[in-house]
Amino acid sequence: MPVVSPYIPEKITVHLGSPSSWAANVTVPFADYVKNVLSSEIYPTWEPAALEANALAVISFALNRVYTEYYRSRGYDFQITSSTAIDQKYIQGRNIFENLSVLVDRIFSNYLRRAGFVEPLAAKFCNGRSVTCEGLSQWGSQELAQAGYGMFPILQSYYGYDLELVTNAPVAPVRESYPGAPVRRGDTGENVAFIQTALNRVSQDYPAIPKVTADGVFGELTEAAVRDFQKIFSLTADGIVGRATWYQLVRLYVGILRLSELQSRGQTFTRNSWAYPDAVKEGDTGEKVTQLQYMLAVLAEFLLELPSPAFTGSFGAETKAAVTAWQHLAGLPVTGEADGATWDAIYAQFEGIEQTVFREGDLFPADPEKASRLTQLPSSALVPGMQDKEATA
Amino acid sequence: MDAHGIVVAQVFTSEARIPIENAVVLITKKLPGSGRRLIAFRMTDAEGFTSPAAVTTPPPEDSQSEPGGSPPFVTVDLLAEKPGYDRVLVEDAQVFPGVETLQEFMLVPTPELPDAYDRTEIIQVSAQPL
Repeated sequence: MPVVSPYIPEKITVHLGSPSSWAANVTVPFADYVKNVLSSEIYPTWEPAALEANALAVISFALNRVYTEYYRSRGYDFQITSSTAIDQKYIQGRNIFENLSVLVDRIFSNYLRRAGFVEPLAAKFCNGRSVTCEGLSQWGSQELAQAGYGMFPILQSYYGYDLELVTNAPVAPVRESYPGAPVRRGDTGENVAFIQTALNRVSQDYPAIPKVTADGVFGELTEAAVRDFQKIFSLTADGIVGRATWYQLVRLYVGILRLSELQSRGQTFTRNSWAYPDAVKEGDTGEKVTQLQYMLAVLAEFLLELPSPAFTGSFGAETKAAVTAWQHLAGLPVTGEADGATWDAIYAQFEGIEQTVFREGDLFPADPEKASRLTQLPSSALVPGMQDKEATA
Repeated sequence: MDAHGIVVAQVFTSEARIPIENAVVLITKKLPGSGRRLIAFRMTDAEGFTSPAAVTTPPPEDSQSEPGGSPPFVTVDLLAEKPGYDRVLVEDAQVFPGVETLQEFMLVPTPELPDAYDRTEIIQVSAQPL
């Protein structure tokens, strides 16, 4: 989706039943929604760490539904349902527990994601007693809290160690990714680039759709690809991306990248995964080396003790010197190779800089001036002519 | 001494949360078989709030580990009414020991010449799926 920065919706529309059932929609402030779900899902007498862990799971799951336009792309006019089988339990008009209310007011603009991924974690949970699942166990979280675990270690033990907590996310009205008017031949820009990227990804599973260049220009070839796509999905084959075609694309793109699943393939910020690959050491070459050099170069702008390596993509003496210097600085064993601890420490520092200094405006700015800002990995700004690395991988 | 939970209600109308003063809030408990026992009777103040009502609950230990037999909370029914508005009844609201619970009532004014004057919106609360 072109609008890639997740945000906290001011209000959320809840369907009071399973998606296709006849039931009312209610629109409530997001914090009230979370308070209601939490009061309906768990006991307020649990340990504070367990309550907070469960609250973050509830928030992240709801934000994932909003971010991936899960229901909108299926033609519904709500963001989430009250059905426990698919979403989270919500009882309109129920009583709210005071301690949960205070907790939610404190943390409702925080959410979970995986390191390097954009989308809020589809933080599934279940009670852990009569129902078990791959996500958080509600009773299990209470047991860990009783054993003295804090909120974040509890979450890590269920969702994995590559978890990140995003705090103070921006609050905004729910907006739809569909640009409002049909996108057609002759149009240019970010929305066209998204259509092309999504078509390319979908064409891996539907080879009848020709590959197009993701150059942000809606030309003849893109129009032909859109037509083929529309034929396959029984849409009017007019080559114009209206609302129905747009959301069919969003739905397939989200589905293929598993963005609304716990084990997501991830929407990445720079369309590169920053996850620790495997030890990166002298003599290595490739994208991971470029990423390492890039992160070190950004760090070097802030930490004068660090030499700044060039982005060569091969791990030579210069890169080794920078890694060694970093290990000295960070108090890590000085090995000269980027092992797990070193990579994570470099990434954590890099992410801190990114968050504090640079996270302003769009993450995929259409404006190339902005795209070339310091923390946009030089090889991967979304610019005309480029393919989506993650999506075409 | 038995464990207690606190129940507070707030009664208002419209999304703008205009408080309703002097609304009646009844807190009752269903008795086995039929009938109800009155636990508390409250009137709302100018902000639409009732004064807190204490409700006897099971001990806090019951909700700390996986349940045995009986639920670790007590359920009460809350009814809010005020002439000129439709009544709202919340059934089986849970009260936990040592926790304050807030029940908000958004009352809708009764239409002119309604089909019936006994108009009650019922909200059924079900237990946590734990």
